[in-house]
Amino acid sequence: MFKDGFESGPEEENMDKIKSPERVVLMSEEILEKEEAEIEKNKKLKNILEKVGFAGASLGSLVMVVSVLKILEFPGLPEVAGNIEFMASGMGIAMMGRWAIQEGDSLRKKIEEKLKNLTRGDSHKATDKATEADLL
Amino acid sequence: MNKEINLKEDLDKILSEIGLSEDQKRKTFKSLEKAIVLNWINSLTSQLSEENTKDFEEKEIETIEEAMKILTEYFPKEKVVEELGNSTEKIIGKFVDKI
Repeated sequence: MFKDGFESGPEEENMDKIKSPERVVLMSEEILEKEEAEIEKNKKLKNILEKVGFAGASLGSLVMVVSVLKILEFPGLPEVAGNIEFMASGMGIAMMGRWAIQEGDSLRKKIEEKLKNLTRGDSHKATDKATEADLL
Repeated sequence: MNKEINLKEDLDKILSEIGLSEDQKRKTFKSLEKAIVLNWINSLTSQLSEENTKDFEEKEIETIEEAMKILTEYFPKEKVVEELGNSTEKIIGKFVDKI
């Protein structure tokens, strides 16, 4: 019994590390803000962008994502280029990720590990519920 | 199986497991996509030679799309694509580490 309790420690730790939905959205925004701040520091780029009327923040518009994909002639783009909503549903990431995944498997491993942790968390929750039901 | 679709599906799965609504997922994807593009542009610009920087700054550029097209033309296509892959890996990797 003690052993079981002891072993569940790290798992509970993993559960604690999983953030709330609101926190996850905030984290993605924080990552974006950091990249915008980096652009501001890049004087070379800033000068050019100001010349064409863009500042760091407006540079990050979604239309930009479509433009990048257009410039790089992504396969399948003609069907999605005009569909901003579709891009926002993660298709941009899907397309851009194509190369990241081919470059190396570290990102894939990270994602698989995270999914495993989350699923383990779910079964853990399910077990807790079953135990509660048993007690009732 | 198509690998680029998997990345989106896996991220979608992670966000669903955490309990994000469709609207929250959309916001998250949007921020991450923008962050990837910014990181990529920043990284390419930093690698421009002095000569190319001067040339870039002197060009008559009217739109952001034009600016990006010119920027990518200073590098071989493979390099541009490789850098986009690196930026994707960096941003999504950072995000997955944080959540």
